[in-house]
Amino acid sequence: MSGEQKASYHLRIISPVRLITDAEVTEVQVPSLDGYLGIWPGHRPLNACLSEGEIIYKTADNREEKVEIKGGIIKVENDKIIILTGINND
Amino acid sequence: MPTLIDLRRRIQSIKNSQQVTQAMKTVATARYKKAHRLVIERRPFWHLFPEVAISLTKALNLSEHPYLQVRRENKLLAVVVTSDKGLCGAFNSNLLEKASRFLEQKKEGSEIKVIPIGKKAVNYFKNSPYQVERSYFDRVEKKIPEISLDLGSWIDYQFTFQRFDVVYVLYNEFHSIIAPRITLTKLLPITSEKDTSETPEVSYLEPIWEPEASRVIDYLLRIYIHNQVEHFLYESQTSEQASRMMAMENASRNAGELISDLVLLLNKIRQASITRELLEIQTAVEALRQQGV
Repeated sequence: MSGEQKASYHLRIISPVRLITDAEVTEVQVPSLDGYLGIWPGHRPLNACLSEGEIIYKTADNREEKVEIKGGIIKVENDKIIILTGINND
Repeated sequence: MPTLIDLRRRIQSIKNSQQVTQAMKTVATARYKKAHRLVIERRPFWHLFPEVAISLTKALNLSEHPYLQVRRENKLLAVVVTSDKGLCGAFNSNLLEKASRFLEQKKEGSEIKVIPIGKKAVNYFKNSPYQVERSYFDRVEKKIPEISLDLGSWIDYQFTFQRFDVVYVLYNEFHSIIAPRITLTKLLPITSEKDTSETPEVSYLEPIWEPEASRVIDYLLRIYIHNQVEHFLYESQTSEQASRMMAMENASRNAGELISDLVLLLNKIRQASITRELLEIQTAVEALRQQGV
């Protein structure tokens, strides 16, 4: 991080059967095990388990979209987010 | 010189073979399209999943997880994936040759056990010096989910209890319809292969783990083997269909060439015999005329 923050994340949501989302986003909300987490640009690196719920994200052109998932893993790095879904949490 | 009737029979029989190969090609094409779509859709997950797993496990020193323990390769397990049926070119023979070369290399100093998948591999390893642990064959392509669950949990159990130190998988990865790519991967233990090339990410912030790291990783690795087994079975199936498609196309084309050659020969012979008969008639007529009939 060289002082400048990118204003968006490259978000990929991938289920075992297909690539669900591949987009530039400015804001993501995910269902973590203890409730929803909001992730804005400049978030600290994060690795977390997700529970069943909806991922809500805002794309670069300001549309809000929702994806339903049944558990998964989220990995947040400097400018990209990878969410692997369909890993059942039991 | 073959007689006309023989040639006609031969041409007919080649035509019949050509019809069979064309039908097989059509079937393989349909299956290939279906399998190919599935592989393309699922590939992002198959490829990203190990990547994420590796990067997460690298962040922490978690060698207590059984999948991450690198031991000396004393007990080796090789999973070899081929097809059930033949008629798909060099698909199986190339892979089995590679497998035997690889195992030959590893024979020194490690005890090798094999799990063949697909009839071709099962038959091949029947007569080999390696011990076959278990095998899967007969309509493998219809039972991929069941097989990957079964084999996945078996490998998980065996590896966790240290019955094996390393698990290799050899399969045909779908690369293009021209030829598959023979791939040898290390399924377990999970190690990052490009350790040296990859520079550690410059991030002075330690990542947040939610919940604690060991649980996140445990959660992730739970489906790792099952997912990867599924991956190589589907890849192998797709490249099998692609190989069969190509093999059958070649066979149909060769049959076509053969037929046109034979038809040419047939016509030549027919023409020659007509010419000969004409000549005979001509001579007979000439002879009769000279006798003054």
